[in-house]
Amino acid sequence: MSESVSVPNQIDLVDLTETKPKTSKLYSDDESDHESENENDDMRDIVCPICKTSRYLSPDMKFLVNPECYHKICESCVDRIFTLGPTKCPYENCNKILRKLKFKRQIFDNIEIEKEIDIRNKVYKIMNKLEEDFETRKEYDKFLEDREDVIFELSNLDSNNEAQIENVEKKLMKYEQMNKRLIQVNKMKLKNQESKQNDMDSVQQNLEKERLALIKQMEEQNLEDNQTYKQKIIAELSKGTDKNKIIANVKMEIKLKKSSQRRKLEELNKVLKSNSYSYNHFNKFQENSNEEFADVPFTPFNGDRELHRKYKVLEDHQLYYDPFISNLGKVSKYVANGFNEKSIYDRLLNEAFLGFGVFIEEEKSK
Amino acid sequence: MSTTSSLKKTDKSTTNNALYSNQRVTDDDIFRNSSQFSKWSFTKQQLKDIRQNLADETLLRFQEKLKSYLAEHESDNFLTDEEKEAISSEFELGISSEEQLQIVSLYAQKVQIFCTKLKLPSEVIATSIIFFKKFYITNSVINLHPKNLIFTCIFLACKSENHFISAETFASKVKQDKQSILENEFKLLESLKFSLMNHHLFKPLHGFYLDIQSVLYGKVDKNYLGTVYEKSKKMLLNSYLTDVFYHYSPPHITLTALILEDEQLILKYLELKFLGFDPLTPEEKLNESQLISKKMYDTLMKTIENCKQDLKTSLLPDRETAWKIDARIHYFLDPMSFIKRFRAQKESNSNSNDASDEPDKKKQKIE
Repeated sequence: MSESVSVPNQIDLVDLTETKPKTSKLYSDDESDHESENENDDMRDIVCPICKTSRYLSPDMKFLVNPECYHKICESCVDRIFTLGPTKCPYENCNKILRKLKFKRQIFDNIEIEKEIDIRNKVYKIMNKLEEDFETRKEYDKFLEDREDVIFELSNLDSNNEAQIENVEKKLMKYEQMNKRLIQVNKMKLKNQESKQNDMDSVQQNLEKERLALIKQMEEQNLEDNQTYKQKIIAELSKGTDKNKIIANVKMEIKLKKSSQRRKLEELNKVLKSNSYSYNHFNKFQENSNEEFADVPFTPFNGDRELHRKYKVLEDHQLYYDPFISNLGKVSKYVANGFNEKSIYDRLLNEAFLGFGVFIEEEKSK
Repeated sequence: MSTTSSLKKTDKSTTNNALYSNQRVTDDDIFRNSSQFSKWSFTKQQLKDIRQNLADETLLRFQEKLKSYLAEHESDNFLTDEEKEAISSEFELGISSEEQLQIVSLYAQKVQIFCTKLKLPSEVIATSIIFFKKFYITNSVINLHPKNLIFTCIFLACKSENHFISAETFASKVKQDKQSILENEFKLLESLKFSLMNHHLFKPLHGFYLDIQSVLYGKVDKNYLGTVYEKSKKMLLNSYLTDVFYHYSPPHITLTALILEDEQLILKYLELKFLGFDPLTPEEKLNESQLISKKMYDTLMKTIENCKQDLKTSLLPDRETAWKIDARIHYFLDPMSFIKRFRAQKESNSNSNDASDEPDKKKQKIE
């Protein structure tokens, strides 16, 4: 019934937007009807491969998959086939034994993605070390990479290649046994974190709500105030004193009132901003490590750049007498583009000592 | 501290050794990885050998050309015995490696003059000259006359130094045919082994200008240092006409130019920077790290001394030689012109015993 109500509405919309001549209205009605049917055709065509029920006949039909083989089966078939206990998958040539309990709704259209997400969740549950379990960022990154490797291997290895899959799974099992306690501890931690996160989120949400309410209130009051002030001005004016003075007084009053509200809003905004709880666990390592480290650029060679340069750029680059470059530093269009005297000096000095220790005659004769 | 670490690196300096994983990459290693070092740096002997090989090849081609030319006129008695002898002795000279170097240097100077007229930045000028000279390390002047490569070099240098001028604009500026500029471009690129990057001398010069200020802070007059800088820059621009660019790394050449300008000042700077003690102190009195820096300082001084000599030697030929070489290139391309000239000379010799007018006219032509 609901459909029959919505269709005329649609037609109205079509008419409005397309502004077709009225003579063709009847025809266009038919057409739009036809189109909507076409759209639904795809949906209705879906047929359960086991019982051949199509969605056209039972619109409530849901498909389920089992993470064993990821074959699509409709809900009623699952009920019918698997209530009596684990059985073979009804698909031809699929000899996997399936249990009803494991069936779940497919979330992603692409079955490959669905599969990977499942594997990912499974692996995450086992390899659940946290940032704080590691000494350095490097080790943590290594762990993350290992985890991704396992996931990749499990999800992308040919399913026929059972030996290899077994190998990876064995590895995973071994890891599980080795780290049983840590896994448990981290599980608890993760749960705590999640609830903490939820708490934080709700606080944030409340603050946001408060802010929106305040804005709305301000707007409403604004409207109201405008009216009352108008009346006030009229009333005062009727008393017949200096009109300019009265208007100025009233305006002042409005300003004062508004600014107090605005201050409140700003405060709220500040709280919202500062409340971002993304903190970096590895800050502590950075503090410990050498300060110079941060400045070293990545090199495509094996190894990082030498830290001890043959030169030192003066901290106070005003000490250099170089009218050309210091004049450039005064041109706003260069400065806006990121011109920075110090980096220029650094580059020039770097070039001055690039190859300083290379004695060609000596090295090339070897 | 810095000197010791750099010296350690230079000891193991065969190109790749220093790059093993745990070692730090120094600025020197980065230079060693540049095409300037790996492809275009030679010892003097290596460069000499390459040039000699090229000269030998050129001579062979001269001989072949002579043979075929003589064979052509074997039957028709066009040439007298005297003429045959003259052309043989001329062609037997070929173009020696010194002559090739001289004529190329002469035209490299012309590249510089053209660039200055076009008001190009120093780095473009330097790159043009380098391209020009590198081309003639592996190509004989008889393959492509230097005058035909000048504009191609400048055009390519503009592109590689990020000073872009479109081919049309460039051709109209230098009043040349666009096609003639572009046709040799790939040949040039190929001869350059497709390596266009050059570490020039102007940035190091600027860097030393700054470093001298910080090392000798308060001890040097800034305006005076400015004039030293300007003069050295001119000298460095001319240094591209010599061979120093193949034999020394940019900082060494730059320091040499600075030393030639004001030896006292620069030596003081180097002492303070790398030694921190009097270089004349006897070795027994030095501790270990001082010995190391002293050793490195001495190598540097030796290199600079060598570089000084090379900077001073001009490779440019005098007018007479330049004319002779240029004429021989011309004869190779057209042996008939030699015979014609020979006959004309003989004629004028018999008319009046003064034949010296002739070369002068030709000379003006080539310049």
